[in-house]
Amino acid sequence: MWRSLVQPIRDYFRELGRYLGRGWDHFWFAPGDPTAIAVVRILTGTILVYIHLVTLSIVLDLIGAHAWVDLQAIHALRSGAHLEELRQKNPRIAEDIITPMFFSVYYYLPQQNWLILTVHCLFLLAMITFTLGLFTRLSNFLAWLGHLSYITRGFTTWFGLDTVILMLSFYLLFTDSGATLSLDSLLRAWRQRSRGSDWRELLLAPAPPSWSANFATRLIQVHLCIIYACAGLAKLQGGTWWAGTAVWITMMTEEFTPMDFQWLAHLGRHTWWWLSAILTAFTIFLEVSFPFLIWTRFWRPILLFLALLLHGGIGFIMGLGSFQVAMLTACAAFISPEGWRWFLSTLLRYKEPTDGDRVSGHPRHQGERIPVPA
Amino acid sequence: MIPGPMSSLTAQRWVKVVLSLFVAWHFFAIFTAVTGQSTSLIHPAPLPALQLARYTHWYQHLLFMHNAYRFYVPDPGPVQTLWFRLQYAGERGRKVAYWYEVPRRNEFSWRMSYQRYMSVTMLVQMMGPDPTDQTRLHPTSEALLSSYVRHVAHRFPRHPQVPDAGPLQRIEVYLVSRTTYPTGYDIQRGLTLDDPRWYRPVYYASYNPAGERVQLEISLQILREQLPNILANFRDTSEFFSALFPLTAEILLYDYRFRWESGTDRQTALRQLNLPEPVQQLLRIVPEALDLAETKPVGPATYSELVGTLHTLCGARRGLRLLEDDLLPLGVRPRVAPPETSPLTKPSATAPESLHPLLPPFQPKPPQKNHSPKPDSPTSP
Repeated sequence: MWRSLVQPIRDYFRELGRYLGRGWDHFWFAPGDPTAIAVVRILTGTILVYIHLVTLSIVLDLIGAHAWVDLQAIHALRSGAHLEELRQKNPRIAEDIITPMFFSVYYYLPQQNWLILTVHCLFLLAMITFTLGLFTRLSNFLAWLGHLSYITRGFTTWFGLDTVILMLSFYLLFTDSGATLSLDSLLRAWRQRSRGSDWRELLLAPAPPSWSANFATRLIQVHLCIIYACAGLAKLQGGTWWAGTAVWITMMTEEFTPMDFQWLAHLGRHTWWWLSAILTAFTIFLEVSFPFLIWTRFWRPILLFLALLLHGGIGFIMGLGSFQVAMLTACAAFISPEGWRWFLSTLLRYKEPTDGDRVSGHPRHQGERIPVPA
Repeated sequence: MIPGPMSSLTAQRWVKVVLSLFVAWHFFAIFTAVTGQSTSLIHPAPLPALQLARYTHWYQHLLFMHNAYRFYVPDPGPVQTLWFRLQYAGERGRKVAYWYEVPRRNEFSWRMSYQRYMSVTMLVQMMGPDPTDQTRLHPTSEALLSSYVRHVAHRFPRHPQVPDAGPLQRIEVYLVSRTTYPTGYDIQRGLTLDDPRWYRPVYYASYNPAGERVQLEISLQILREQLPNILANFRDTSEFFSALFPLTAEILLYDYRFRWESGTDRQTALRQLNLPEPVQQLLRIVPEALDLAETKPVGPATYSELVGTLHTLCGARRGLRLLEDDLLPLGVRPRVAPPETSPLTKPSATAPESLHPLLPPFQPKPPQKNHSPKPDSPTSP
C-alpha cells in the first residue's frame, strides 16, 4: 500500500525532472545559427573601437602614470591600507567593507606612459580585428581583456555602457562569433570556392549551426532580462517614478542633455507633467515587463520595437548614445538568425539562392529538426 | 555551402555538466550583486543578500559584473562635480589662484570623454560618508580624492595663465552639486536652468600637492567663522539663498582682489582665475560685486556686504512670477475678495509665510475693514 501511495508522487517528480532536464538542455545546448551572434560581435566591436578611439586624446588622464586614480591609490584600495584609520576606530565596520579585487594588465606594467600607450594601442588593434572578425577567437579575448583592464585601471571612469559592453564581449568568448559575417569566414569561403564569386555571397556564406552559438545567445538574453528587471523594479522604490516626474528631471539634467528642453514647460500649465508621466510610465512598463514578455512569440517584436523607442528616446534626451546602442546590441540577440539574414540580404541587395530544404542557409539533415534560438 | 564539423551541433555530456554548473554559479553571483546593494539609505539591501555577496564578490570584481543595474534610482538626482582651487605662490607673500572645474562640458569635443570625466567626479561622491564620521567622505573616496589632487597637481605644476607665479602650494577641493532641478512650474515662474543659485558648492578639504590633507588657511578660517552670523540675516527670509554667494564673495575678496591689486585689469584677472561657470554666470548677473571687491577693504564687513549684494541683486534681477499654484488652494482662499484687487498683490492675512521654498514670503497685511473674511470661512481664525 505504501509503495502504491508513493509511486505517483515519485513518478511525478521523475517526470518533472526529465521535463526540466530536457527543457534546460534544449534552452542552453540546442544548436543554433551563429548569424545573430555575429551581428552582436560586429556591433560590440564597433562600440569598443569607438569608445577607445575617441578617448585616445585623454587616455593618459584615465590610465596613465599620473591618471586621476594613480597606482598608489589603487594599491592602497586593493590592499585595504586606506581602511587603517577606520580599523583603529571601529574594526567591525572596517571588516564589513569589501576591498576591490579588480584585475588589470595595467596594474603590472611599469608606469611609463609610452609603454601604457603602446599596450593600449595593441588592445585597440585587437578590437578592430574583433569587429572585422579576423582571428576572431583570439581578438575577442584580447578585446575583452583590453576593455576590462582599461576600466579597472581607470577605477572611477566607468559607467553603464562599460558593464554592458564587457558583458557582451565576455559572453561572445563562449562561441566562435566569427563563424559568419567575418573576415575569417570570408577567407575560408574564398579558399573553398571559385575566386570569381560575388563578395556578398562569400560574406553571407552560412555557417553550420552550433550549440555554442546558442549558448552565448542565451547568456546574453538572460543577462539582459536581469538588467531590465533590476532597472525597472528598483525604480518602483522612487518617489519621482511614481509621481511621473522622473523623466522630466532627466530632461532637465543639462549636464547630460544634448539640447535645452525648457521650452516644454511653456506648452501649457501641466503639459510638461503629462508628457513626463507618459514617458515615465512607458519606461517602467517596458523595463518591468521585458523579462517576462520577451519570451513569448507574440510580444517579442512589439517589445523589441518599444526597446528601440526607449533607447532611442534616452539617447535623444540624455545624449548617452553609445550606451543605448550597447543596450540595443544586447536586444539584437533576441532577433532570430533568419531575421538577421533577411535584413542583411536586403541591406546588401543580395538574393540568397534557394537550395531546397534549408534552415537559415544551412542544409537540413535528413529527418533532423534544427532548432534556432528564439 | 560549407559543411561544418558535426561536433558543433551537440555538446558532449561533460561539457554540458560543466557549463550548467558555470551558468548556475554565474547567475547566482549576478543575483547576489544586484540584491546585495542598497538602493538608498531608506532602501537597504537585505542582510542575507549582503552575506551571500561576500562569497561572490571576487568573481563579480574579476569580471566587472558587480553593477547593480539601478539606473536613476530611487530617483534621478543631481549630478556631482568637483571644483579645485589651486593656490600658487605670488609676489610679496600674495597668493595666485586658479580654479579648475571638472568637468567643463565645452572643453570636450567628444561626449565619451566628457562622460568619463563625469564618472570621475560622480563615483567618488557616491560612496557616502565615513561610517564613523559623517563630516568626512568614505575612506575609499578619501583615497581617491588624494589621488585626484596628485593628478591635478601634476597637470598644473605652474599657473597656466600667470607665468611669473611661483610653485603650487595647496589645492582646495569643493564638492559641487545642484540643489535640485527646476520643475515645469519653476520654469514658468522664471527659475530657469541657467540660474546660478541652483548650485551648491561645499568646501571639503585642503591638500598639499602630494595629496596629503592640510589645514585650511587661517585667513579663510577666520572668514568662514563669520559665515553663520552673516547667514543668520538671510535665514529670516525665505528668499532663494545659494551657497554660491559666500563662495563667490570669498573668491572676489581674495583671489580676484589680489590679482586686481597687482595691476591686472578686470577681464584679465577673471580670465587668469578661470572661475567655474556658475560663478562667472553669477558675476554676469551682479557685476556690481566686482566694484565692491575692488574698492572696499578686505575684511568680514566687506565679505558680509558682498554676500548681501549678491543675494539681493541676484534675487531682484532673477525675479519670480507667481503662478496659480503659488496661491492658496481654492477651498481655503478667502471667499470674499475685492473684485478690483488681485490675490497676487493682496494676499490673505492668514496666508502662510511661503507656499514655495524658493518664493518670497507673503507679507501679512491687516485685513481691510470692508473685505474681512466671513466668520464661517475656513481661513478665519
